[in-house]
Amino acid sequence: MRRVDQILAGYAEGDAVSGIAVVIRDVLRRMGSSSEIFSDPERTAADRVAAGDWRPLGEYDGGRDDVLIYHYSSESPATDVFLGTRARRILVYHNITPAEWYRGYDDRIAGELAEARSRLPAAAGAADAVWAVSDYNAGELRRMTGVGEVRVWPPPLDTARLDVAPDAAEVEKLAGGLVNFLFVGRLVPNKCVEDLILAFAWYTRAINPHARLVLAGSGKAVPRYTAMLRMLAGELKLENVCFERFVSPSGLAACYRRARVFVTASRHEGYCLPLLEAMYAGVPVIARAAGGMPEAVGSAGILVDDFEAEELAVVMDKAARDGDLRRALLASGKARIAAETGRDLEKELGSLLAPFGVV
Amino acid sequence: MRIWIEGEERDGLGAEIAAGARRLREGGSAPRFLAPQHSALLLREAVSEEEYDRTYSRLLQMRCGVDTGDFNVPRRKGPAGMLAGWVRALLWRVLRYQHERMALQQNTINELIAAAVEFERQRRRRETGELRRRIEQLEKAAGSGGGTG
Repeated sequence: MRRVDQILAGYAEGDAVSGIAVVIRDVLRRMGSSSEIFSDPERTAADRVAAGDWRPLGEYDGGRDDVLIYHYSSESPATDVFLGTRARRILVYHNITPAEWYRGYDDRIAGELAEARSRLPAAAGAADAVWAVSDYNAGELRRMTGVGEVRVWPPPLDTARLDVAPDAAEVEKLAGGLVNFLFVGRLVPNKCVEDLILAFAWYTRAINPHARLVLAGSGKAVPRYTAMLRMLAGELKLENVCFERFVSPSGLAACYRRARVFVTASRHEGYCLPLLEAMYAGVPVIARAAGGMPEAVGSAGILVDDFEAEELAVVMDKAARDGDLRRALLASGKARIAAETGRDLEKELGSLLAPFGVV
Repeated sequence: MRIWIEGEERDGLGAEIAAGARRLREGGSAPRFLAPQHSALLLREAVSEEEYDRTYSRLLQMRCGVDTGDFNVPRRKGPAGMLAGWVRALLWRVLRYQHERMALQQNTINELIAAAVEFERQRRRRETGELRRRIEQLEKAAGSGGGTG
């Protein structure tokens, strides 16, 4: 049986690309293939190191009959492994955040992102097949690299990660009769979390003071950006903006359990799986109509664009209080999730991998 | 603004929301935004870490003081909410002696730390500048004195 391995720039619990790689590995193993995840040890989180379900990039030694899938999202030694392997190559494009978002906050990351974009044409050109996780990403990839055929494979929703008992302490912490607005994601500049804080300032001052904005996501990646957000919440005297940092799966389940509305104002996303997670948890979603998010939302949820902070506050209020709208959103979200969970991943991956002779 | 509900653009709803936002602006309950030159949002304009750090240090020093002024206590509807809100507001005033003493201690610590951050920033900037100058001198010397074998 052919080996189908994957290489990643980094590997961590809660990271979207890592989660997708795990799902693919598990599906491939169920299909009978041997499959491992290889990651840069420098960027592999301690929890994954302890779990031991990965191998260092340097140990990858695929041969001509094997297949290597590279999840491309940032500059990494994995690019050299991909370009140097004898195995047949598949590049999965997860999008690279434009470097401009990081300038001033972290010039090193900005440089890495610019480098990743500059090396993308070579990596895509060397690939035997190119996949993207959204039409948005596929379009961008074609524009940047000139590659012809890009097959779109939306990332699967890992429901096993969501079907855990909510952390009781977190559920209790988020109680108190307040209306909870939830954002899930790393605190990084392209996600424009400051726009949520500004909208929440309008909401809590002019509409309903009994509310809370829960930001569930690590702020470690770009500390200067997180500092700016904390300073903004402080100067607006918003006691109820809760920086929850990284949350465990049970903590995340608690956040979704207590959320009235999920909201994101991100301006650059390749797809945005938390939107689907929120729908799975029965929480209506509001997202900016940007990047791959319209594809993730589909015909469920609310999309907004060209808005002022006070306008987003009014939309948040409507999504939190309008019973008819909420019922419609919950029904369409449920239908969206039914379609998502009904996907036959073995069939989908089998079709994508058929040209490589992988059964 | 533009809004789509369940995949369909809704112009009418967009206009309704814009009107609702206008009412918020005219309603007198707007958040108290700082002037742009004092707001944390100014940090978004930085094009380098050096510029960010300089702006951050300035903004940090403006934020050292703990605000102990009176504020609007959120009150729930009904007599119980009114009573609870009134008691909280009263307690804040009655305990002013205590919390101002603590605020003074906290303000002192904050100002000392903010000053320490600025000292450190200036020292590192001076040292980096000095190192750059020395490297340039060394490179210049190596360039002009080379080639003798």
